[in-house]
Amino acid sequence: MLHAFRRALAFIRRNRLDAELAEEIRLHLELRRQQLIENGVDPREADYEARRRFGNVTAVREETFAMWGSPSLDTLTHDVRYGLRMIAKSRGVSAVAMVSLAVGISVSTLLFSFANSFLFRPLHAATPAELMQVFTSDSDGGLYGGSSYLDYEAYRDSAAVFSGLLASTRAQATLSDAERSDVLQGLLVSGNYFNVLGLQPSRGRFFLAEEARTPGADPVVVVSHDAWWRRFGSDPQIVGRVLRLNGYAFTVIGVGPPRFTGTSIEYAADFFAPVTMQRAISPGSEMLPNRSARIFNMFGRLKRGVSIQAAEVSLRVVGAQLLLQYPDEWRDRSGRARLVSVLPERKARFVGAAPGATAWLFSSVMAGVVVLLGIACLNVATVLLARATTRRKEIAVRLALGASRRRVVQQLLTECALLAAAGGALGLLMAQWLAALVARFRPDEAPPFDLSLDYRVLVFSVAASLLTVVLFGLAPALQTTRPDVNAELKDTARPLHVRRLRVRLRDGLVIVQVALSVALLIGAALLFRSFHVGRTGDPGFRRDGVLSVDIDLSTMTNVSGTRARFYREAVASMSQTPGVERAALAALVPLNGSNITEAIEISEGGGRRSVVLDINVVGAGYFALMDVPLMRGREFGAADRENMPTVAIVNDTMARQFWNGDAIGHVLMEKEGPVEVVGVVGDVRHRSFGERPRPMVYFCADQRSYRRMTLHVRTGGPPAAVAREMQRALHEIDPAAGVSRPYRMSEYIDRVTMPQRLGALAAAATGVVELALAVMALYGVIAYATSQRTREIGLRMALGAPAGAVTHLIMRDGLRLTLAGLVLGFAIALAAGPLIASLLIGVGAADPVSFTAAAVLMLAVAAVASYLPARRAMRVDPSVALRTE
Amino acid sequence: MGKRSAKQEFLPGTLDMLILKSLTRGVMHGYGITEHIRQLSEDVLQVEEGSLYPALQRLQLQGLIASEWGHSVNNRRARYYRLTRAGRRRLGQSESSFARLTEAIARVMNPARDTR
Repeated sequence: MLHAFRRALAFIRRNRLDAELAEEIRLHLELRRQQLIENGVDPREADYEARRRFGNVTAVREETFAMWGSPSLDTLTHDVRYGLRMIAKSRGVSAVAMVSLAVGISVSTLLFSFANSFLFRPLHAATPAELMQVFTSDSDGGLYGGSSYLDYEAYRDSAAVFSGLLASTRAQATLSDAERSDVLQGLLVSGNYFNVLGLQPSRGRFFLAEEARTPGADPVVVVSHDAWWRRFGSDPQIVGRVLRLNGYAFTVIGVGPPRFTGTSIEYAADFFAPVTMQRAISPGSEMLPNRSARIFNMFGRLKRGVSIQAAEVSLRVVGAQLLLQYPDEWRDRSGRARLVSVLPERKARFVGAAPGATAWLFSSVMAGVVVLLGIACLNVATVLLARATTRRKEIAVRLALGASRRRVVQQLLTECALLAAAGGALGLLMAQWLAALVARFRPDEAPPFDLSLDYRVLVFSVAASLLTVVLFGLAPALQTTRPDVNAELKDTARPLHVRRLRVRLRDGLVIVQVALSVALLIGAALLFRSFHVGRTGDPGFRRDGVLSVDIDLSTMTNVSGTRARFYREAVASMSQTPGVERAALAALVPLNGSNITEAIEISEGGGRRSVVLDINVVGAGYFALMDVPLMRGREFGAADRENMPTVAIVNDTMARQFWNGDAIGHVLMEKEGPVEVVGVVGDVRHRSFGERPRPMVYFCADQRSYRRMTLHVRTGGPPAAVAREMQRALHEIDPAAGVSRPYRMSEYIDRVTMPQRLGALAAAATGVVELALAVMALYGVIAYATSQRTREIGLRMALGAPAGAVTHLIMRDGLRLTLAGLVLGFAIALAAGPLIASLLIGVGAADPVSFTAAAVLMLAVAAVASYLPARRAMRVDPSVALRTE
Repeated sequence: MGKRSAKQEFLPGTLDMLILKSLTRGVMHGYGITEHIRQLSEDVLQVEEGSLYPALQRLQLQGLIASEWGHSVNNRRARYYRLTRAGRRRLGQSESSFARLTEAIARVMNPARDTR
């Protein structure tokens, strides 16, 4: 080790050392001469004699110099210089490799940072490692469910393992002021929320101990730093300002710390309100005193020295006591006792209530990263391989002159490392630039993400580029150093079988490149199409021109059907409003992220079975309003009233799944009695765009209304005027009714499906980049293969072949290889289909459009790539062409 | 080729050993070492003087000797070499193996002693 260090040091300082040695030798000669003169030798003779005795000064210096230039470092500099020369010599090929690497690394680094900011970055809190999430198993037996507020209080007061335990639940509120209304995401939090997280406000204060104790007493709110900046223009007077959230006046008491957007990775919280203000934010439901409302997430800060297991045991003791006191609430549906679990916050992110959209987003992003890096590596590999074959002769000469195989491989590897280093550095620069670009155009509704490149990303991209070099630089290097030296040198007189082997290798390269490019292109096309479908695909209803208003009647006392009457009057009055074509009620707005399921008994071939189905409750005229086709039977009508037989409508999928399409007249058993199916309607995508349609049952709003419904109207007139009229009319019917500001359904759906669309956008952008890379590499390989035939073309031309015939021949060969590659690529794409299927919305993994597009593109690229070099080769003077290679 | 022939007059490694041995007397510059070897061997060991310098560099790279610049008696800048601890250890090893070797050669050359 020390020895190597000394050598390296000597290597660096060797010019100075050489000068010193020269001085030393001069002194030696001088002293010798003096001594000889003292011994009586003639001065001129003495000089000669001193030199004779010393020997060859230059040889001594050379020998010593070589010693300092430690061989490995010396050859390294040599290799680097040689490598740079070779890279400069084949500029085009090197540029392709470098740009491929840079694009691959930068885009995947960016995507990785994106996923990283959700999955791996620690929660923005003091010592996040101490934070644990506490779960109670849910009613279906799933381990990681939420808790009720009463349970939370029990844990908080009796568990001594945490220095603090907080609870929070999601809340959404419409913020309305004079000009506009916005939907804000927020959290209802326990009073100790910020204390447990160990955060400091950037302005104002957080909640006091006495706030969040008495229900309804503290209309105060903390806004996130991000919301303060984006929604309130960093208003310096924000503290003390009054915000109307869902119509209720809240006073802003503080602004959160920068970059803190709440304890959920799912969405960014804009505001934080005390849980005790729950009725103001979401009127109608009582969440706090309800032990069955298991909607709270709990985070605890573990006391120092307490293990996670110990904490879990201690909380399970509390759970066991609760089970004794509340045997009903503390058992799940199948009668098992609920179980408490404690997980570190970081781990809990992956197990919490399965976030469909989020998981989808990440897996598509990660698939994009893998595919992209795959393409980049493929490009580099084929380019290197192609180049290595042209350099066979050079390598053979070097081997013949006595270079060891190791030495040649080392040299080739150095070259690749140079490429990789350049590509990697370029990639990091590009990544930074792209991150800045994305940050600038980040949409308002996007989930929180932070794209600053951290060390994990750095490690990731460095590992990616190193891996590329080692795998794809080494293989061609080993492969090219293997050939028989003699055969390579005797190029013209090469035995036939060797020639054939080489041709086969070249053709194989083209076929493999085409096949892999096609497979990857198909993947990119599928992702791109799925993005397109996700944006414009038909969800089974028409959302344009629909205004919606959320109605909440929970504050109204329900004596003798007041609610039903309100709804009836609301629909009737809306229908008569000028500009309104239709009006209808619904419990759920499709695609808004919520759904209701219910266990329903279905008679099926003699037997009965209970199935859990998605349901919605809609009023008369709903399907006509939403443009959902009625396929059989009838819509709900005026006759379907409270005391009439209960009726239901099912969707097409349900009808086909259970009754072979003929659902009319069948009876469902619901908890309140039998329900007759009177109609079948088209499928509506309820949970996400392009999902596979699920069975769905619609109940009639007049027979079964909820406290909270949404009133939809289809308008022909200007939406603003109709909206004003809607609010006025509803207020007139009953001022006590909670009425949201009317919103356009299309805008609303765009907003709630943002994460899904964002992920698809990322995937699509990746697809475009992949396309460019694949085309670039394919062109490179085919053009290279064609240019290899310059000599053959020259020969044919010299023998008098017409230009057209030669072009034909070359193109035919190129296309034949491409076709072979296409077939292979299709096979790969079909085989890999199931892997990617879960990421696709609205398109199948064997989507013919994607396949055709990829094939057409490949053929076009192949045609151009073989035509251009062939033309160039034909223009070359045959006598020159014959001398190439 | 000349540089090689000078070394070939010795047994391999001998020059290194002679240098190390010379330096046990204290710091010396290159010329001093040459002279020391020549004088002690009474002109029998005539080192080709040039070959001393690569050997000095090699020993220095191996950490067996160290050097620094100083001034010679007649006040000229000269590089002085001294033995390091590792060099001293190496010298000990070389001396004992050299002793074994010379003894063995002596026995071969003069077998009469064995009969005694």
